[in-house]
Amino acid sequence: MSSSILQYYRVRLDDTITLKITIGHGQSGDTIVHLGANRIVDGQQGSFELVLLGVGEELNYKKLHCFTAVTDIQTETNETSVRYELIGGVEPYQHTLQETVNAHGDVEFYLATFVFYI
Amino acid sequence: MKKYGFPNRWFRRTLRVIIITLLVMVSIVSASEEQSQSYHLTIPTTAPGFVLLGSEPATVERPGSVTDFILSIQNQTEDFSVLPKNYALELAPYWLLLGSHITYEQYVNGRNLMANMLQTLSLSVATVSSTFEDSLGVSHDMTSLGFGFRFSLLRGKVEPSFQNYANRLDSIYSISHTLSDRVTEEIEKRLKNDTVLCRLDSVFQNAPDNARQLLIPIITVLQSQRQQEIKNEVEKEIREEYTSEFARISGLVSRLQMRRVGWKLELAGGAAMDFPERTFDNSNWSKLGIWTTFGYEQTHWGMLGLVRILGDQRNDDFSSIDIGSRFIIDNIRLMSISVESVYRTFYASDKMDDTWRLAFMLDYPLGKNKSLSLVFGRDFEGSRSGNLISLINVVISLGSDRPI
Repeated sequence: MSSSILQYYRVRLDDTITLKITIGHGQSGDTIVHLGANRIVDGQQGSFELVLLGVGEELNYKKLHCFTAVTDIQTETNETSVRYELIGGVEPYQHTLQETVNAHGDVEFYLATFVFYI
Repeated sequence: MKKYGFPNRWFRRTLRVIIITLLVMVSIVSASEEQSQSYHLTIPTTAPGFVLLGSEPATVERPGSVTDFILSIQNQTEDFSVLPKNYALELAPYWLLLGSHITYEQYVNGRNLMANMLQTLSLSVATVSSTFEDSLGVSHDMTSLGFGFRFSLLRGKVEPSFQNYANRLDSIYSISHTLSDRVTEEIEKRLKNDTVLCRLDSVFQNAPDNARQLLIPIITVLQSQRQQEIKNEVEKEIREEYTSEFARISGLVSRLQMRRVGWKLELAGGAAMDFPERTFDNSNWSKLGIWTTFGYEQTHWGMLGLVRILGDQRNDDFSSIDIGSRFIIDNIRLMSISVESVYRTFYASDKMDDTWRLAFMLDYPLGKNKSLSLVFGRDFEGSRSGNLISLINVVISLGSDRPI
C-alpha cells in the first residue's frame, strides 16, 4: 500500500468536476486542497464532497493536490485510509490509499495529485 | 482429612484472591492521575468460543467494542505458576475487508441497525486445554475448540462529554491541522520547484495530441516516484521538527475514551468440539449455543440481562437455559466493579435440579493490551471441584498496542 498517488484525469471542454474524499476506517482526518496556486479547501475535517470551480477548459493542465493527515483514533484498528473519487470527466475515477500505522495515536500523511487534461 | 479439605481449599483460594485484590487496589491508588488517564477503561470482552468452553470470567458478558484482529491469551491459573492454556483468535471481517468504507460519522452513529451489525460482527475460534476422567477414574488430556460469532444490533450513542471526549477530539483536529498545513506548504513549494517534475510537465504539455495518451503511463510512473520521494523527505523533516506535536496527538488519543451510552443489544452464538486424548480422529461436537445480551448503559453504570440456550451434544441432560442479570459500576479509578446473578435450568432433563450463580467481579486495565479480572462468588452446582469461584483472569492481546 502507498500514501501517495499521481493520476492524469481526462476532461471535456465543458465538464464540471466533482471531487469526493472519504476518510475510512472510522478515523479522524484533516484535508487541505490546492487547485493550481489556490488553496480551495483549508482544514476540512472528515469526509467531504466538492464541486471544482471552472469547467474542463479552465482546468486543462491544472494540478489538484489533496493533502490529508489521518490520525488513528479508533481502537478497532490501526489501519488508516483515504478514498478519492473524481466524477464528471470522461470516465469516473476512484482509488483508495491505505496505510497501517505503528501505534494507536499515530498520524499518517496522504497526498494525491490529479492532473487535468483535455 | 477429607472432611476438612473444603474449608482449607476455600481458605487458600479466598486468601489468594484477597491478597491479589489488595495488591491491585494499592497499585491503583498509588498511580498518579496522569498515569491513570493514559489507559482506556477496558471493557473486557470474551470470545464466544471461550463462553461455550466454559472459560469465561463473567457469564453475562457486556457488549464491548470489536478489534479487527486480536489474539487473546487467557490465564486462569490461581497462582500464575503454569503457562496459560487458553487462547482465542478473534477477527472483525467488516473492519478487515471493508474498513475503508467506514467513515467516522458512520462509526459514531449508532442508529443504523445494519451498520451496527456489520461494524460489530466478529468471528472467533478459541481453544481450551483440560483433563477429564474416564469411568475407571483415569485422567486424560483433552483439547476443546470453540467457534463463535457475535454482533450488536443496538450499541448506544457516543457521549461527547464523557472524559472530555469532544474537547480532546477538537484538540487533536487543531494540532493535526497545524501539521497538515506545514506539510502541505513545504511539499507544494518543493513540487513546484522540482526540476524533474517541471521537465516532465513540459514534455507532456508540448507533446502532440496523438502522442499524449502513450506518454501518460510513463510520465505517471516517473512523476509518482518523484512525488513520493519529495513527500517522504518533507515528512521526515516535519516529524523530526515537530516531535512534541506528534507526541501531544498521541497523548490525547491515548486519553480519548469513547463511551457509548443507551440501549444495547448483542447476539452471539457458536459451537464447541472436543478432542479427547488430543486425537484429531477422536473429535466430537460437544456444545451448541446461542444467546443475547441486552440492557442499558449510562456513563458510570450499566444494567444488563442475558438469555442463553446451550445444547449439550454429549449428554442432553446438561442442555440448559440461562437467565441472568449484571449490574456494573464503572470508572472507579479505571476499575469496573460488577455483580451478576444467573439462574440455570436444564430443560431436557428431569434428573437435574435447577442451579444458580452469583459472582462479584473487578476488571482492571493493566496496560494498553492487558486486562485483569478478579472473580469471586458462588458458581453453578455440579462442578467436581466445588462451587466456589475465586479466580484471577488475565487477558493479553498480541500484535497491537491498542487498548482492549
